[in-house]
Amino acid sequence: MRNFEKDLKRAAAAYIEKTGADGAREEVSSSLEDRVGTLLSREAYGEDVRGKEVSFMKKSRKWTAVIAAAALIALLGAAVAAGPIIRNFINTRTAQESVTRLEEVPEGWIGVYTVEDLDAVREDLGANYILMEDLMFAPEDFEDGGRFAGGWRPIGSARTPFIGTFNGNGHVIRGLYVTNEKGFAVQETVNYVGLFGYCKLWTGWDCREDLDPEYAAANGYKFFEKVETGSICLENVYIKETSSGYIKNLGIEDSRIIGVYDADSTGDTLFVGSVAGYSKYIINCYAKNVTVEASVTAPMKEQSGYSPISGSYVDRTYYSLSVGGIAGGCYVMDCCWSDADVSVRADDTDVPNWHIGGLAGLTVTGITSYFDGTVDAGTLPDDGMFYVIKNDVPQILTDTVINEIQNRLEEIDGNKSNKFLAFYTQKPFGLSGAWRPVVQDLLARDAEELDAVYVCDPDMKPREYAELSGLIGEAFPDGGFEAYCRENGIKYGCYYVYDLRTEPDAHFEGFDSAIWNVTPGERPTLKIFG
Amino acid sequence: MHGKENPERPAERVWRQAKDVMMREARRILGNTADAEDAVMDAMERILKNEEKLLSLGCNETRALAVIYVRNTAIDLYNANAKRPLPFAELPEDVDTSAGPDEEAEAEDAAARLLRLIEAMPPSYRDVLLLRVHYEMTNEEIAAVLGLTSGTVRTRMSRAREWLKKQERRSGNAEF
Repeated sequence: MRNFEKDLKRAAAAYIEKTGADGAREEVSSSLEDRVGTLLSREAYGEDVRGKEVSFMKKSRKWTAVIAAAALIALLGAAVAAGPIIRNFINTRTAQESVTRLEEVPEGWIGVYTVEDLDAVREDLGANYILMEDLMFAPEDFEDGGRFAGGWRPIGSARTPFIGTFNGNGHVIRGLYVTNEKGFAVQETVNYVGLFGYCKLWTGWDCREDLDPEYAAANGYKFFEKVETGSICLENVYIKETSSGYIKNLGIEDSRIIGVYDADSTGDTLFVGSVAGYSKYIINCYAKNVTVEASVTAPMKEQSGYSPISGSYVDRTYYSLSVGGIAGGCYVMDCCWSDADVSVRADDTDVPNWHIGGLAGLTVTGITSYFDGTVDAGTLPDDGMFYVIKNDVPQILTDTVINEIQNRLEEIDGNKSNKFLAFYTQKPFGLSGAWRPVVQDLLARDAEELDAVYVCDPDMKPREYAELSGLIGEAFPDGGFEAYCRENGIKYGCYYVYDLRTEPDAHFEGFDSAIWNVTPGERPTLKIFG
Repeated sequence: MHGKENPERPAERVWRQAKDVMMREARRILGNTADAEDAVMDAMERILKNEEKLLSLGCNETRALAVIYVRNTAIDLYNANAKRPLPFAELPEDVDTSAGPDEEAEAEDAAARLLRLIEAMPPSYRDVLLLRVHYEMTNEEIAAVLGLTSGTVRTRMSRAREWLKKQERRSGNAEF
């Protein structure tokens, strides 16, 4: 018996050694590195993990929001001061605060003056670009021997997403021809078809205190001797803002976009639109005299539950075919218009899920936009201007809305109230000017009026996402959350959108005259385009 | 100017040393990267709560323990998502068990024979056994690692020994 235990211990040690020494490696993504880094930073300084009670929060109803926000920031600050990485806590960012055209390329941006410059965007998918001229493609560009023979190749794919920023700067691209048809297109089969294919938005900031100054300078970090963020003060830190996949201020005219899914296609999605197949954020864009065509000639493969909307895998949910005049799908569409002709040829037996709209196939937030074109989805029912995903979670909330939800949940269960708040972090307005426009874009009021803004944790797991959605649903059991957000100046859900096919006499309520040219009796146009 | 040096925490060391094998194990069970990343995150959260057990471990011990953590969080996630939960013991294993103990036992010394049995053992039993025998954890500590009740740990430990006993009997080497 004694020998057995001894042998067993030796065998266990040998097994451990063998398992531990296994050299087979699996690559770890940068996003997972970030998530774990965040977890380690947070845990290192005592911040309670989401879902657990935060004891001091339970003591006061009246001061819950204020104290919790201060605590979150303080803890975050503590992590900043001593830990290597803090969480990225906002995932949207504007391209340019101004809604007027810029005549000079801002520092840190790359000017796009020609179609060759535009083509070169794909060589650095993480940079910030600004369009400085209207661009015109000629039909022969896409013919044999032309500059883009076979059709324009979308910038960014699911495997190599565009993660930079593209500011159209009030300029227009005309004559675009995009297709992924076999034998006609030069590219391999792509599932995201448009000027841009797949734009993955990612924004945040990385704060470190122990960087080598030369490394910091070479990699875009800026040194701050002192940064005050609400209730905390950070000293001697390096901060770097990360880039994003974002399209703004761009017009597409006189163009044709064709997306095809056939028996040789791979993947389980087809997103087709003129500005982008999929882009999380599309603001101040239009598509004029554009046709967007999609066809599915073979059963789509339900291989995974990846949702580009949430940027993660969603259990047993599929978004297979999404087609729109401006984008196949987007998270936020604001200040956009289209007179596109959208057509789809597919059989519902081949397509498990479809969303077809004049502006976008799928969106979560559609605001101050209108559609004046046609949608012909054949035998499939279309979704009007777009299909709006309900029960998603707002990216940003004001202190007023946060307090209201908290109070409502508090009456149900104090723990739920605390749990809800843990999903949001107060945004430190004072940290960087670049943050303010992000918030402004997501608000239907002036950010200057606000005392505090909270942003949603972008690192949520799918089930946490569902949990947060459920909590909000509990706070507003009869619905009405969307309306409440609207009343309080939060862009969330779908409102101030007009389908001129059914509302030819729309008055375009809610259209901001700082952004739109609104003349009674005429279709509004975006000011930045002149 | 840059503040004091921060010593590496045990959980940070686990991540640095074992992230590749954690990801590989999670992917093996779940089959896709996104779910695997969730399982790894769950494992890291669990590791953070049991950091003190990591203080004195060597690199390979750390990696092996991390694999145990993530295997269990991955299985939890798989079962949470699946219409039909996958019984723990059904999970595919990388080890080659085709050469059973019957044929080769005589040629191996006792520890080598037991090593082969451990490799062939159902993971649910093996994890409990390794955590007890090698990492010298209590039932409560094992329960915290695996996300089980201590009662379940006791049951699995008992069955693990029964399983070993049965295999040893088959090969004629039973000493207990």
